[in-house]
Amino acid sequence: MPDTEQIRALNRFGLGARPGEALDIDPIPWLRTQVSPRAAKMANSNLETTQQLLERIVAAKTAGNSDANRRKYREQATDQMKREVAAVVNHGLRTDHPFAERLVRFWSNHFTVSAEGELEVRYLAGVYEREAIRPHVFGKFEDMVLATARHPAMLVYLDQVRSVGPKSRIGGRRKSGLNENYARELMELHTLGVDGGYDQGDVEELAKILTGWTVGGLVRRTSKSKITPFRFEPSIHEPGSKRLLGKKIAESGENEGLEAIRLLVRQPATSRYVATKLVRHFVADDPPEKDVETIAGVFRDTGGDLAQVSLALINLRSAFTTDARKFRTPQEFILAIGRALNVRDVPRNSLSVLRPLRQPYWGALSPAGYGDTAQDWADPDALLKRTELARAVAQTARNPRMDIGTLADQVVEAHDPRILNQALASQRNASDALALLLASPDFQWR
Amino acid sequence: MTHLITRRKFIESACWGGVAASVLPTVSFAKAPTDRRLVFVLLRGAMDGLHAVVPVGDRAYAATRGRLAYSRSDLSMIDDTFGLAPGLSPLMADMKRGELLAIQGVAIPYRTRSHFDAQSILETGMNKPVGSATGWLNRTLAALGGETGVGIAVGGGLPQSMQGSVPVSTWAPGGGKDGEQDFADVLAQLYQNDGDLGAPYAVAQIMQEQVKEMGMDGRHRQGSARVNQLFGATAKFLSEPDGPRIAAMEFSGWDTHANQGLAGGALDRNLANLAKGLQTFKQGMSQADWDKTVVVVATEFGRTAAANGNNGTDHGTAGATLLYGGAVRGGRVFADWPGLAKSQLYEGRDLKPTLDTRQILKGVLAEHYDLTQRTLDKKVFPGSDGFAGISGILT
Repeated sequence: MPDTEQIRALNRFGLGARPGEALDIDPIPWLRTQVSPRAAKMANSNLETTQQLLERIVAAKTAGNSDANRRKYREQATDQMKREVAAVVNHGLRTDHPFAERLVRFWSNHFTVSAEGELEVRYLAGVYEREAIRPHVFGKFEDMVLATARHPAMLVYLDQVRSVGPKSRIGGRRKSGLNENYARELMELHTLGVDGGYDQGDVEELAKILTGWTVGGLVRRTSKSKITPFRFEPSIHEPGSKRLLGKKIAESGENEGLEAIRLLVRQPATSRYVATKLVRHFVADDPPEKDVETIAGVFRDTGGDLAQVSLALINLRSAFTTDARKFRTPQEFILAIGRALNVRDVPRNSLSVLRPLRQPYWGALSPAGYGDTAQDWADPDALLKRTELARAVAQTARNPRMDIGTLADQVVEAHDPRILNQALASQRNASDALALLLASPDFQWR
Repeated sequence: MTHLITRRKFIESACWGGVAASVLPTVSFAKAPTDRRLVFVLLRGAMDGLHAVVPVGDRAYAATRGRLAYSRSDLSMIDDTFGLAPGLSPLMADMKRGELLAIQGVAIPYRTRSHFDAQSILETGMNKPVGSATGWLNRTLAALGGETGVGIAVGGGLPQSMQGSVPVSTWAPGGGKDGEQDFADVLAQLYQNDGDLGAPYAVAQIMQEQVKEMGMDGRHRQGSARVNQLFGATAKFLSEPDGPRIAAMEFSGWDTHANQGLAGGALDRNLANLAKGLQTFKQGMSQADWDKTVVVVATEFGRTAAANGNNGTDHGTAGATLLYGGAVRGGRVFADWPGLAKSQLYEGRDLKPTLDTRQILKGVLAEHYDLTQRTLDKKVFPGSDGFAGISGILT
């Protein structure tokens, strides 16, 4: 039987144990080898680049404003979304670097974009993760912030493309002005955290700093320019110097935004905020202060080197020794089922269950992303829906070629293995036993 | 009633095999402690109160509001100053009957323009953000006796307002297939042994039985159809003879930073969906139950008084709250109106707060549930002993 450390490496740090896998791994080295930029890439993706998708979007939007064209645009966006979801789920099932993939999911949620609103974002949410998140999971935090800030999915989602400096060349002429949305969330949700020491004045100044950050060829005022994922548009940039967190940012166009982001990521508040979220994700819903300090320290000392931060997370002994458990989110639950059954392809329709379970991919209802505690997911209705899903899966799944009790030993850390095994043994057949295992409380935790 | 039997049956099955019935003391099954209904509807994202209960008669309104100013003829006027937005106009008949009260200038007690802090304060009923705090609705349930199944959250998990020591049901569309009893019994036993999941799973089982008998519409709907579906479902739950009495609902999509529009625009369509949902809820209740019902529609904060650069509004401070129901003494706007001239605005940009949300909630709870001042000050809204609830907002 595998030991706790083996199971936790696979479940808490990975995406769920496969049959037989736990006995094969030496937990810490297994996790450490995954801290590599290559491990965070998506294998064999035939999906389009941001540039290609953006060209399709602009083509669809300029095709004429008929009902048929609008419907076609919507269908294309939804179809792209389905392809992206299928790709990311299949990758989650197949990857041999599940720790890297868990971090991809974590950062993608941290820098949430939601495909529930504008169709541009529905088109682009998948490629946003592939191009703005994945390359930086073991790189510098600052580069990830910058990549998200300059990606059209984020620029559209948080209205940055709409923000115009009131005193800029265009702002003076037209009735348009600042939009604070992205500037506020960049500080509140992406870097400093809500108590990170900024005020409304900083929100307005940062909004001014970022005016001009837009997408080339997509929005009205840049529609004549070349189609390009990011473009700095001087004609809407607010002139003059600005003040952010008490520091003067001299007028320098696009560079002001770069300077501001560098300033934000270096604040101690940012290291604490990011560390708290990471420790909550890997250790406990109530993150232990000592662990937060450790991770924040590494973040600060390495200038936000996320490879070093990831290695430090593996070294947190409390993730392996604490009694605290993490409740699997719906996405994690589905991947864990697939991996426990050695499934490599999820039939598309089975993903529709993520909506009733309230966690479709790239579908958070707020820019804070999905919640990361048991309170967010373990309500009565959700537990019932999980039970139903477990039964449906067990009825159609090819039965694993092993006794379900043995499978249980290899894929869950049971609260009381004896009771779980008795319950599994009491079932009439393997299919019922499998359903019981997947629906069991033990399987809901990682 | 069938549900008493159902619940008893549940206790028997839960004790099947003799596993630690002592894990269950949090779950009790007595008759509902009250026949008075309360629904708390949270509009997540900050609904623009100035665009719902529109102060078109304020002298500074048109100038301050800019491109987002309604004209009087667009609105259903409640008095000389305020009119209901076009999307809310279907509720005007209820307003005239006195079943709708519009409250302006409401804010949480802590100044923040963060959605998440503000929602947390609104839901916990605290003075400042406390991430781990329990919800004021759950503490209200505790004050009413703390029985399981009296509270329900409809549509999306367990919101912070309903989190706490009293087990609360949840229901959302989707699913609803029947499990086999043997399987369910064994599973129930396993859940009883799980310190965190035992209580929610026990509630889930009661819910499952109830929902089966009620014939709920479990299909997955979107947009306005979903709003209606959820309000209809809430009416059904609250109409059950032994069903829940206090419900929490939530809708997102109110964060209108761009193109919020005027009549028929994006925000107005949302308001129209809300109005339709509220009416669906009313139609789903018997007259006798409706007379004992209060629906509170609240949001985390208001939005800027002036339009921003994109025909939208940014995060603001005071906003509007609606009370709806047969037990409401409405037909009017309740406000200590601060005015919209630049000098009258909070920080020169937002409607100034003149009412603490908890003054409204305490007023509702005091009259609706006869909760004492002491209970409200100490238990339901700790740290609010400086003030009482507003009186005279219920019949």
